[in-house]
Amino acid sequence: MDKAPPQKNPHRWFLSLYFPTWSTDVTKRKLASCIPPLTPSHIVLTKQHTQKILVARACMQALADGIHPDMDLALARARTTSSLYIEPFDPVRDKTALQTLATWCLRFSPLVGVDYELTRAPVGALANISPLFWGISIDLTGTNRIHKDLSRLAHTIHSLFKGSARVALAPTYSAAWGFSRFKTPALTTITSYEKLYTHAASLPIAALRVDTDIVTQLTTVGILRIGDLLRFPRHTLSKRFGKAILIALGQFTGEIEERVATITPQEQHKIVKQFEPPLPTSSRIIAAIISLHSSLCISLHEKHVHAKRFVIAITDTDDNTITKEFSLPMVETRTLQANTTHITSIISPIVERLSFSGEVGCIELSAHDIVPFIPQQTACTPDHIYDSSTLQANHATLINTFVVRLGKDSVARVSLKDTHMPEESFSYTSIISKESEYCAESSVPYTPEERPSILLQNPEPITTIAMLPDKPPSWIKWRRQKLTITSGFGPSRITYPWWDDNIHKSPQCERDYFTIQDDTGRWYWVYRDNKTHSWFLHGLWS
Amino acid sequence: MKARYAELQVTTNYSFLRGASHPHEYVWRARELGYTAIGITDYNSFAGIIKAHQAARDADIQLCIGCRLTIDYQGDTTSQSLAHSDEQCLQSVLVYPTSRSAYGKLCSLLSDGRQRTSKNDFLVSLDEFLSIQNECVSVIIPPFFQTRAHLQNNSVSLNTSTAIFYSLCSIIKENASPQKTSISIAFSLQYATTAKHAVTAVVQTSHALSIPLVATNDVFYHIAERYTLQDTLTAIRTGTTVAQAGTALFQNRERYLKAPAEMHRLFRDFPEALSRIHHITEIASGFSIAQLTYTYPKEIAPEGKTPHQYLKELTYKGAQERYPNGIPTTVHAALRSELSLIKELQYEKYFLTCFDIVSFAKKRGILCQGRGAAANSVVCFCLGITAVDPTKIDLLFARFVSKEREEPPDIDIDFEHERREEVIQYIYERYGRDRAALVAGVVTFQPRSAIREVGKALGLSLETVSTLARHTHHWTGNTLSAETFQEMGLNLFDPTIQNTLSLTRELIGFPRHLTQHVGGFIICDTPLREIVPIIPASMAGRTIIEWDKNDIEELGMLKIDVLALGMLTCIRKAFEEIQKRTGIEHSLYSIPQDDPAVYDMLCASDSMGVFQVESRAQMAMLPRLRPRTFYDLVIEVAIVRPGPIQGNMVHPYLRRRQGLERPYYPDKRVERILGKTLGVPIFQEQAMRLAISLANFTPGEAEKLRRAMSAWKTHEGVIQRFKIRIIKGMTENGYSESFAETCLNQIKGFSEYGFPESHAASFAHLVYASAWIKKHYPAEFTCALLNSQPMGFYAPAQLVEDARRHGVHVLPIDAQDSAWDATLVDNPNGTHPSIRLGLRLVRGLRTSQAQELEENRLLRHQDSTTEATSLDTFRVRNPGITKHTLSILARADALRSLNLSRRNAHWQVQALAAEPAPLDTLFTTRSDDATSQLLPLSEQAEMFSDYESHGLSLRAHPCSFIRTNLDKKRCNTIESLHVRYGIKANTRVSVGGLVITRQRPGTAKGVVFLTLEDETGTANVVIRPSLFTEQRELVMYSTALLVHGKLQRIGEVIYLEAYSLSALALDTVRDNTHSCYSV
Repeated sequence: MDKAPPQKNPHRWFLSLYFPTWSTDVTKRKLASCIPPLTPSHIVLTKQHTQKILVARACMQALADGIHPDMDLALARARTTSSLYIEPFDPVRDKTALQTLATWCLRFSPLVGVDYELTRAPVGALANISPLFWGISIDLTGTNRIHKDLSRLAHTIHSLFKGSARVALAPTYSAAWGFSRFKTPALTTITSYEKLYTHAASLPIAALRVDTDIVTQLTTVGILRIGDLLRFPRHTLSKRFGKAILIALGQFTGEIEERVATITPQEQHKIVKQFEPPLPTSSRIIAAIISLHSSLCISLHEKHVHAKRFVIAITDTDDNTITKEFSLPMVETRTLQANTTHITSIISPIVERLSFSGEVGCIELSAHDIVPFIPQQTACTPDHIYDSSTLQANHATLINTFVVRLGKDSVARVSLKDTHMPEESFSYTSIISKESEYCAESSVPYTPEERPSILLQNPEPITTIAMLPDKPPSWIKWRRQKLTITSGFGPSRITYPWWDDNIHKSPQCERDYFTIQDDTGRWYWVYRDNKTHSWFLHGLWS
Repeated sequence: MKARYAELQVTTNYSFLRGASHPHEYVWRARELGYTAIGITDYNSFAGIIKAHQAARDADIQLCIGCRLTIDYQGDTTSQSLAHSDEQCLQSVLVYPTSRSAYGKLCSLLSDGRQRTSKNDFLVSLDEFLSIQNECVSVIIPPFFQTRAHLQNNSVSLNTSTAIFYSLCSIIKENASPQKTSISIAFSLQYATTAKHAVTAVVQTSHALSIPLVATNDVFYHIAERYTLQDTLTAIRTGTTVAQAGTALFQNRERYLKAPAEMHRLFRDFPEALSRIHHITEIASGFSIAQLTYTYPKEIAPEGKTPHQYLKELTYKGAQERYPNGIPTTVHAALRSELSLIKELQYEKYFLTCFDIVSFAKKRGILCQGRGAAANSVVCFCLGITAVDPTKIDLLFARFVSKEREEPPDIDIDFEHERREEVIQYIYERYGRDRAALVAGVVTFQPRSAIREVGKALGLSLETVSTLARHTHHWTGNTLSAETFQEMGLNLFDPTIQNTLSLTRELIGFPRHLTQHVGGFIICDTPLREIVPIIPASMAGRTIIEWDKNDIEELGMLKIDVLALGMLTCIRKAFEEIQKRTGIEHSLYSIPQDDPAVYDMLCASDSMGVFQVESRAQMAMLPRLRPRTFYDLVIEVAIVRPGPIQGNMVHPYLRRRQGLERPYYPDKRVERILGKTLGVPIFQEQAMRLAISLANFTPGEAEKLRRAMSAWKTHEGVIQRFKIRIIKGMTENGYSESFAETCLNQIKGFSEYGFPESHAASFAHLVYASAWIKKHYPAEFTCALLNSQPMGFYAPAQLVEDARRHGVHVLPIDAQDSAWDATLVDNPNGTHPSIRLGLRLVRGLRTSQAQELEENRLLRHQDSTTEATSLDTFRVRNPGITKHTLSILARADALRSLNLSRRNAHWQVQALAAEPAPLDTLFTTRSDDATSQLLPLSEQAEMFSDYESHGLSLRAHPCSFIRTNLDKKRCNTIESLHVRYGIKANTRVSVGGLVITRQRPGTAKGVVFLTLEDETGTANVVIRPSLFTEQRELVMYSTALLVHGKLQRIGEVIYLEAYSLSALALDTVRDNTHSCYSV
């Protein structure tokens, strides 16, 4: 100890939560909620590295069997006799889960943060962030009055997680982080700077949250623990390992202040309105909500963002708060944000469906799922109705109206698929689904005139006679009508997808499609199944 | 009348990842269907035509040689409707050369195109095509019959592509000379959805421009059932799955070779398109592969002399040098007969070319040696191509270069591996890139690669694919049972799995891409690019032809193998060192022969580093075979090969050699052939001679047998023919059927891995040479080995360890004293010089930095200044050395001469500024930087760090640090297992050590061999398959093992038959380092 512990006033408190098996725990929970629930003994999450599949995360049992991250999956399998539950590592899912938990932790203190390294990492790099940085920190400074005894709080939080979390309470953020990651008992409480010093000595250098490079460099000269480091005069350290090491040390000991990078993140987009006297009736409440909503939309529009989900918190006169949520079923919210009359027309039925009772004293409307947009100039004059953005807006208005009237599950759009099979070449996707946002241009494999404009939902059997192997039929009987065929061409032969188990009714099946015209001049699209030799009508030209 | 038909548009699997059938499959199918001819047209390539030619010759069907050219033509860009320059619409034309010269021009065109562009998008400009058009038959392929994947861009509308097509056709038509009506438009009817429009467009174009149509089926597979494989290939090529490939796939399975009657029915409305085919095949018959003649370079003999005169002159000149005391009469006779045979077969130029290359190498001081049947001739010995005196080992040249064999002579020349590139570039320079090129190697789909690609294309998860790849033996063999699949965690009856397996089996053996052959050179008198397209190899500065070694043999082209051999580099370096120290100049010819000390050393299995006989299996064989003469070494080299092992020849030979069994010969003829190997066939030549002599094979037939054998597993039928032939021939000659069966099995054993005596003899020479150097100059030998890495069987750590066991003092790497290579330093206390390890061992050290160190070292030696004694002086003397390099040197513990221990060196280096030292640091005194506070590193940690930084340590052996632990576990040291310490064989013992090698040879039926090393020596461990499956991970991955097993000994070699294994932790007492120890 080259220095007396600095006297710090006021005292600060940080609590660090670390989940050594966070990702596998998330998977475990997911599996447990399956029906029937799955409880695999060993869970391994994998990532792909060039041609190899590597272990990304392993659960406690797997770790105990010697399976560790970055190990070849084949080797991992060899390590244990138990069967492994394997799924790909999904860092985005796990990060979201961690953020949710962090939000939950806001009940202990308003200053809660997910590890800075994790929050700042781009999505692509998430999988490579060391597991050590998958934790939560809570700044408890100043909350003594609420929590009374912080050590007990730490204890309570630790027991809350039933052993899946390692918890450390310390006077500095860095120390709490370090102790929770590297100190042996799963719960550490450091109640004073003196204790901090005595306990820190045995921690490895990595507990200082310095670059791995610096850790390796220190290792080469035999400095492995914080205690070793403290024996050296600081100037000799900074000369070799840069300022970073001193800063890290200072942050650890509290000489340099550090804050939790808190999660209370983006700007809140909300409107709060008190009603005095309280709103008595449901219709007035609805009217109030709608008016609040349009003003919120306008303010969002000015900030060049748009929202997809809104939450209403209604407080009645007895201070009870009810929260209701509704989302806008809009496809193109961007162009519509300004169109308040339309928005009102959409949301009123939705809001009307929310039931309210009692008198309402306060309404808070907040916007969520905020997406920024780049403002574009729209049509200058009203007669530019074919302007693309206007068209898009009209399209969106129509869809939104449908969705509101019929419910979002009842509206679908056609998306095209690149395949030879006619009935597979398109599918209906929900209007709300993510894909529908861009589905407009996908490649059209055939020029339209070769495929009929009306395709029957299911091919309908017809009776006919045609000369084998490839003459079009001379007459067909369809829906009890006999049609005389005057001309036709074909066949166009399509082989069933052999790789698809579902369509793979019988191997090497083919259809011969003919385009034929009856004596009234109408065109039909018929096919013969080459396996059964039965005929079907599949489409017609309007 | 029977319908006549010939298919002119066939894509084989040499259009890689497009065609789904082999060339020979097409040819044989075409014959089966009664086609009059078949035209093979691969995408911009002639890679498959020789195979097709061979098949067509055997099937007796006309083959039209052609290719499908991709032409870069985007239409008339001036016209408004086509002015989308980004819409690339590639046009294709089938081109059939009508004469030898046309073929040559086409080959040149392909070569030019390939050299210009990267591998896959091969384009010929329209003008280039037009320049050769009038000598060829061209068939323009309309773009409408193609799938999206072929067009590359689907955004081109039908109208646009019609317009482009029309303008292309009219340009070609305009350019065509009116006398030769050799253009057509390919016309296919494949039940396509677009057929109606396509047919209209094609027929209209044809009428408007009066270009006749020709019926084709644009074939991609020989039978309809292959369509699944074709879809899979398309998916692999486009990097997607079959389910997602959509319209990139063909919409149906019509692109197979259809029966002529069916084609006639399809084209009933277009009879002229059918009759046009025969017009085309007729003109195209103007060229066939048989017209390709190959001539050897003429300039090889000086003006005024015929090649024969020149060869004779050189040979006799060489003979006088080789036999300074007069040429023996036997040699005279041999020379005369060999020369006359060479004259008869006109192989003079070939021998002269070899001589030319070898002379070049000698001039440059590159060590080389020829091997192969022709190489072991007296002529080659006299020309200096080989160092083996063939008269000493009875290799009869005439028997292997003979008229009947119809095969060019076989000479492989090995060069020093580090300097082979010089020889290759010399050949390119001497003959020009137009006339010399490397032979291609065809990379084919192997079970593992095939399953990976097919599995991915069928959308299997990566997991499943790698499981299948891991268990290839389950499904490539015949053990395809539902249970084994269940063990793998897969359902055999799942349709996707079934599809995957069946497609994989079809795909195995398909060509995947071309690569360069290991060293086969083709040299030609006329431009080579007019015989075969020359394409750039992936390695810069190399060009290859499109044909592989079987193809060029078919054409009787002579190939010279310019191979790389690490041992030659090592021997040359050792000779140089010896000369530097002793002044004696040695060469491969001049080393003293039959030195008993050398054989003593080999008999004791003391052969680490010696060429060929240093492997575990060879080391085990040496004390049993106990070689005493040069010919014993020839056998030693050849016997430890899968061939003799699988043919069960090793044990009979050893028994007979040890006198436990008398050699048995059924008669004199057999004795003559097998006498020198005690009645056991060991060499490939013996197997062939048995067939010739006992079963009345002609030499040509015997050669065919040898080839058929190499495909023993795949062509059951061919083998059956030979089997009957051999047994019939032998019984006719009065041998028993059981003896015939034995012979057959032995011949079979040679099929894939047999080793020819002619090669073994050349190798044995190198074995002797390297053993001789090792025996007499161990320091020079180890030094040369270290400087020739990577090569051989062992890592530097083992080589250094071995040298130290032989009393050679080895000095650690030192920043001031080490050169890049290991160097020899005078050692006044010992018989041998000491080795100073080189900087090349240090991992992560940049060559430029090492060069700088080396230069400064030389300067210091010249000025004979003293070594620097502090880091500061060192920095001033080596101003170019960066901080990064210094830290690497510190890690390697190479700064000891500056009085810096490893940790202190790190500490000091870390304090340096990143820039090189300014001079004034010399005069400022450094304040003490708390160095004293650094904890000293333990000896064991130092050792680990040594391994980490340069892969070996001169400190104590890792095992010595855990010896007390091992003692507690009642482990023996390896040395104590030797006979002299009295432990009896078959006793149970335990040994702990590092795993230095790990082998699981295919011939050993799943047995794993490990070599264990502790501080006292090495021992072999034999692990039975049952134990291996139980403790797979331990065997495969651990760096150190504790083995309990039964002790076995053969001479000095110690074996443990393992009963059980356990992990051995090397770092139990490892203090404060985070190193990962690995060998």
